[in-house]
Amino acid sequence: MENNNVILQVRGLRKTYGSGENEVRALDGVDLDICEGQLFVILGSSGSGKSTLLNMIGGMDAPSSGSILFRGKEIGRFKDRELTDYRKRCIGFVFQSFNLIGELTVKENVELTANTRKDPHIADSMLELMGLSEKKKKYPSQLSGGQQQRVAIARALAGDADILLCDEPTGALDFETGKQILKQLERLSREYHKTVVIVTHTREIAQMGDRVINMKDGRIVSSYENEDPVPAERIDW
Amino acid sequence: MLLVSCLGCGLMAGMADGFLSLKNTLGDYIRDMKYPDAVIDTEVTTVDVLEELNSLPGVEAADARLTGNLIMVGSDGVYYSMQAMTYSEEEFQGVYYWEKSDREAEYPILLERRFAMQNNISAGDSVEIRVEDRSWDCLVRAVISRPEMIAHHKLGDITVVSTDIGYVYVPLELLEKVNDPEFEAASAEWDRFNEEYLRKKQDAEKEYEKVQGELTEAENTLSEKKDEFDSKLKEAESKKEELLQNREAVSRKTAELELKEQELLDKKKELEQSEEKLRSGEEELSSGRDELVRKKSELDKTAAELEKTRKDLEAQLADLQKQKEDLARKKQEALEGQKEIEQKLAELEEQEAQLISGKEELLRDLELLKLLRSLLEALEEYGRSLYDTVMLSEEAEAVYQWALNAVDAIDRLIPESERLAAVLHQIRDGAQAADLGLTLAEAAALGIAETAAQDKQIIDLLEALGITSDDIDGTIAALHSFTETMQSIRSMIVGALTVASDPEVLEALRQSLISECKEMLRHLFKDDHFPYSLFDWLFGLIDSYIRQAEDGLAQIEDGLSQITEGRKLLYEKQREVSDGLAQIAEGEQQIRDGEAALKAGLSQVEDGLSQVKSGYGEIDSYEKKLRDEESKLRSGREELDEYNRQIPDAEKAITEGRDSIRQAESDIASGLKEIDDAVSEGEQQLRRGEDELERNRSEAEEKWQEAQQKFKSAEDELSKAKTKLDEWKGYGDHCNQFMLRTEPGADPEAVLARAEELIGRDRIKKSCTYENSEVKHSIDVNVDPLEVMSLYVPLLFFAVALIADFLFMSFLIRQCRREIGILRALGYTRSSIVGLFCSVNALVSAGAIILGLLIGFGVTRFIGEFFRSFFCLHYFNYQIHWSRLLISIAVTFIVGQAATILSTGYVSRIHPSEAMSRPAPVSSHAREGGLLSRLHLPPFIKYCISTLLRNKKRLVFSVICLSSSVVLIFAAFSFYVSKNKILSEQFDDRIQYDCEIFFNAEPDPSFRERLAASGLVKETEAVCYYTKEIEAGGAREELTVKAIEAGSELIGIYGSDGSRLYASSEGLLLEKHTAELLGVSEGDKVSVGGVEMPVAGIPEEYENRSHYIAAASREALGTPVIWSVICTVDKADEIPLMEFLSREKDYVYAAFTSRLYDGIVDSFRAFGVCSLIVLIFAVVIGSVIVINTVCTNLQEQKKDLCVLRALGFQYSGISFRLLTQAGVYYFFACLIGIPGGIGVTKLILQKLEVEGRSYPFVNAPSVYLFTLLLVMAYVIVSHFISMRMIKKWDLAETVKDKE
Repeated sequence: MENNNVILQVRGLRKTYGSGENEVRALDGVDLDICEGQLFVILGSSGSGKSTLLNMIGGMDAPSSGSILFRGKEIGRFKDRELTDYRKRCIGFVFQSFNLIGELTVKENVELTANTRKDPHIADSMLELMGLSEKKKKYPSQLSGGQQQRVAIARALAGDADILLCDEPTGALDFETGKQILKQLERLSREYHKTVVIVTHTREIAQMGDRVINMKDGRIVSSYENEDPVPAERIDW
Repeated sequence: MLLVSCLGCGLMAGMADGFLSLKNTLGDYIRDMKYPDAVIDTEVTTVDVLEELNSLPGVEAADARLTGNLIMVGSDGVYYSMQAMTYSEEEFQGVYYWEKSDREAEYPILLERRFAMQNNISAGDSVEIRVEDRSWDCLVRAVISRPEMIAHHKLGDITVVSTDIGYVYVPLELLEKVNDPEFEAASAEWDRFNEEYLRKKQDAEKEYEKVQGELTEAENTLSEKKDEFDSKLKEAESKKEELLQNREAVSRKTAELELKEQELLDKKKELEQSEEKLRSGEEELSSGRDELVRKKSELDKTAAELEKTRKDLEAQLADLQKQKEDLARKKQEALEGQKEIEQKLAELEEQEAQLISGKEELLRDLELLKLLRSLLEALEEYGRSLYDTVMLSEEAEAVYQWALNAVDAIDRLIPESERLAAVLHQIRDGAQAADLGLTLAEAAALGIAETAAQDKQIIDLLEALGITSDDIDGTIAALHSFTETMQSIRSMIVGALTVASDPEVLEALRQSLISECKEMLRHLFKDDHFPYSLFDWLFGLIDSYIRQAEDGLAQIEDGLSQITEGRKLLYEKQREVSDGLAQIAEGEQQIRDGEAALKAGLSQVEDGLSQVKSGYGEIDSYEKKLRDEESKLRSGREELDEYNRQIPDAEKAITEGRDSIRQAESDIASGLKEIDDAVSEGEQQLRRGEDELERNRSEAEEKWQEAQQKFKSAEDELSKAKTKLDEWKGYGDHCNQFMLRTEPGADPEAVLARAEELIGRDRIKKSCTYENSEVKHSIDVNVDPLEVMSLYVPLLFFAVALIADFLFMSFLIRQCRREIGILRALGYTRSSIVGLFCSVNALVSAGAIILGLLIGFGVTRFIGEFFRSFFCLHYFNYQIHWSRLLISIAVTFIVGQAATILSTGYVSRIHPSEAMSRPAPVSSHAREGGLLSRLHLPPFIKYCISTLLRNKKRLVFSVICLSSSVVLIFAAFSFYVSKNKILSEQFDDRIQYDCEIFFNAEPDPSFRERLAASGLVKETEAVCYYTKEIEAGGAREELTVKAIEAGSELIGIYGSDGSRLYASSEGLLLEKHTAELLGVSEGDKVSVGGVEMPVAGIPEEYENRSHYIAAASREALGTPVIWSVICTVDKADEIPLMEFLSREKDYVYAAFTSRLYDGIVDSFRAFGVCSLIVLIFAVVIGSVIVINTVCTNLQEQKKDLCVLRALGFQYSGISFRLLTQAGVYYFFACLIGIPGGIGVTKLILQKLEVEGRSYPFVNAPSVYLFTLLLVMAYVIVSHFISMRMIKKWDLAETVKDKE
């Protein structure tokens, strides 16, 4: 992968909680590069620091040390307003527990991040892309888990984010629904060339990534380019 | 929730107890420090009496003072209005001195420190004490503070010492006047004179009464005489009247006699005529009776005949009825027969038609069969030749020829075969038709006995045919098979012929054909033999069919002829039935005619019988009439006889009557003359008696007038003497007062009674105990509202806190929806979950209650300390109202538990799986999408509105909590402002002058000019005071009426509606309560001191019941009691003004400045302080509720807000959203809370109303503004708190958390 395609660079990232004897190292010197259009998988068991890393990348948490460069800009130096703006314009979050706003309809949830000035029908387009056009007037509680996760993906896409950060996107879903979601993410990466970062603890899911890093105790224990990614369709876990 | 509960409970207990303690302490304080247990207004004040009073059992201490204000004139000439109290040397020892003078003086006085300091008077200063026109030079012996009057309170770092003000303590000797021997002597002299006067007055009154008695006696005698004369006169008049009536009666009698005489003559004539009539009547009666007997016998005969006729007719009618029934039965039978014939005819027609159609079909079949036979013959011939050809010819040409012929033959044969099949079909159909015909024939056979034989023949015919459908079907199938074979042969031959041009092919074909044909023919004809038997069978079959068809035809013809015969028979029978029916109809008609004729006959007979009966009735009535006529004739005759007997008696009576009338006329004339004479004599006597009595009466009146004159002059002298005596005594309206402080436990009434006995009741003007005093009443009026406040204000706070507590608890439990769902999923029962939450709530409530009680006690102490220092009380009785405390604890606990039980019960009813998932907003069930979804608003605005409106629970919770705060703050502030408004608008506006100068005589007109010229006052007006009795409709009140200048600007008088009223010459402005007491309204007339005047207006008053007239109306009311001049003055000019007035001392009675009204203002201070405390607490509670509400809301939305932040929403956006939300809550809260606050304030003010003082609600814009701004400030502060909290939230953790 060419260096000029790198969209996000993480260097020497550390995150500690507590101090002295009680100090816990959530991240301990993580270095990684994420390229544009790449399907990047962060693999690791619970407590390995993968979600902490994702939160750092997403600007939701500040590192204790190290740097995160988004298109060459150090986000650790961002002020709160800039960091919020970074989350709005550059990052699209897909949470494990969906985190949709219960009082809003599906379409309104998607519209929250949509740049309607640029394209007033963006929310409708995204919902159509996710196959949820008919559900746009429903409330999240009236949808299944898979549908809710698809709304979450649509919401993440509506803001035209550069990177889609998916924290255990299939964690709250059954196998079939999870597979559907993975297919959607794969499609976004392959067809629409979106940079997708998936955090998972399932080794089989990691097989679909272009690049996979394996984390343990806040460190990257292995990292490899996947020359022949397995299509989501064929993944079984 | 803990905070709200404990605040509610604590404030309820604390504020209630605080106010109640204040009320009781103030009451006790006023009573203990200022007012004695009993007071006695008396004319005497002596050291001896005071000592005796002090030694009375039950008396702790006795003191004396001068009621009313005395004037103290300072060394600089300034006038001070003071209250005088006596002091003794013993008391002097216990007094706390600030300053003391060693100078000696006859009258050393003590001044209170604050007063002395404020007026720059020091110990050793000389002052003058004035009581009315007497004065004493006194020395200020000391400036003191009475220990019981001292109150210390902290003001910043300084300890301030307060004392009571307005008292000057003078030696008793200064006020002691009654032991003056000259006064005693004069008083004794006056008493003697008074006694003598009273005695003389009594004698005179007795003498007058005696004369009056004599006169009354004479008057009585005269009256008796007069009555006697009157009765006699009446008697005479009645007698005269009687005589006159008698005279009239005599005249009437005479006329009557003449009339009777004439009547007698007429009667005689009438009697003769009657005699004649009687005779002719008797004759008529006799002939009538004979006629009647004859008619009766005729009627008997007619009746017997008619009866016989009737019986005959009835028998005929019965026969006819029988015949009618027979005829009907026959008719029914005939109709049924006719119907049967018609049915049979129809059936015959149907059979005929069927037979005809069968015949046609048979004919057609026969023809077909014949055709078939010819075809079969042809087929046999062709078949035979084919067979011969195939079998015998070996030559191709022959075969070829044969083939051509065969094709032709087959071509002809195929249609023939098809036709044969069709014919066979028809045959089968014919058989079926024959079956049908059989069925029909059977049916016809059932109907017609005559056609039975024919049916039999038909059946035989069909049986003879022997055709079964199986046979026919088999034949058809064979023919079809034959046809198909022929077609295939043909096609082969045709195929062969097409290739016949090639010899080789032809040869091959020939060979093949030969073999094929052989094979086929072998197959067809079996064993290489021509099927002669088949053709024979077919011929036989067709021939038999033909025969059968011909037989069938003959039989059908026969059947048809039989049907025609049957029809003829049926037509004949039909005709017979028709004839029978016609005969029956004729018979019926005849029967009907006969019946009608019989009925007519019967009715004629009935008529005849009824005529006979009526004839009998007539005969009876004629008989009765005859009998009546006979009796009449008999009585007429008796009467006639009686008249004839009476006539001589009547003639005799008439003659006697004439004689007696003549005698009566002469008697009446003499009686009348006697009566007239007696009456004129009686009248003369009566006139003489009356003249004499009148003379005596005027003499007595003259003497009494003379005595009255003497009494009057004596009373005047005595009054003058009394006035002189009073003047000499020196106090006029002022009098001395003994004040008694009773020992603890002693009955003040009993002590007072003993004291009154000691002083002498005749020397006591007025006395009362504290409990009965006006002072007590006035204190109660001021202090009682505090008790009302002690209930209603904390109750308001408590209610608001309870509402908030309930809502918070409910809201918090509903927030635990997921946890409750988990517990339910883990197998906890609903009751165990409710129990769990109730236990938690019980612990929280217990903590809240304990905390609340501590706060409550703290609040009580705080309020107490505040009140104590504010009112300069040297003690404060902390009282705890245990019942309220317990109730507030119980209610707090119950409300918390109720909220827990209800909410937990509700949430635990939700299915665990549903409870553990995130609930859908309520609106989602009602409508998907909705208006908001369709609006083109920026997403975030849409989000703000939707989250606000769709979460209705949150909206309702927040609005109720915030509106409670608004109610609280509005009510507290409105209460505060209403109190201030009363003071400022109603009180201050009324008294707009600063100084009032009193005179005991009309001031010199030049006084006001001099006053104005001094430049010390700005405006002046004159006022006159009257004490008058106002009377209206029997009710009367002695009141003070002020005559003020028309259009006075210095005295503001306001009506109930707040409009200003001005005194005018048109009448009296009568204060509202007095008007109510007298029951008068505007325009009614009242009497003011005997002067009638209308009520020109009814002003609203608060403190003093003053009534006003215009100065122009003064003349009618006479001399005023007091004159005064009111003026406005700058504060700086007050002392120079007093100096000026001191030079006018000949006129000045007393002068007051506005400072004196401070006392009245003080009465509002208690409420001012209380309402201020209420306001402070309202502000605190309001802020707690608002902040708590906002924070609870925030906590509920934490996850959503964090998600928004994660999605890249700036703090400003979040802040905007929260502000929008708070703004909407605020709007609704104000919309609900302000009217609620108005209602609550009005309720509390209404409850505070006491006699003579109302607290109207003041609708001040400042209250609205203050409330709106304060609540807005709370909202903004809460918002900032919220934003700080949001910034501290851990985004990553919150977002990761599941619900």
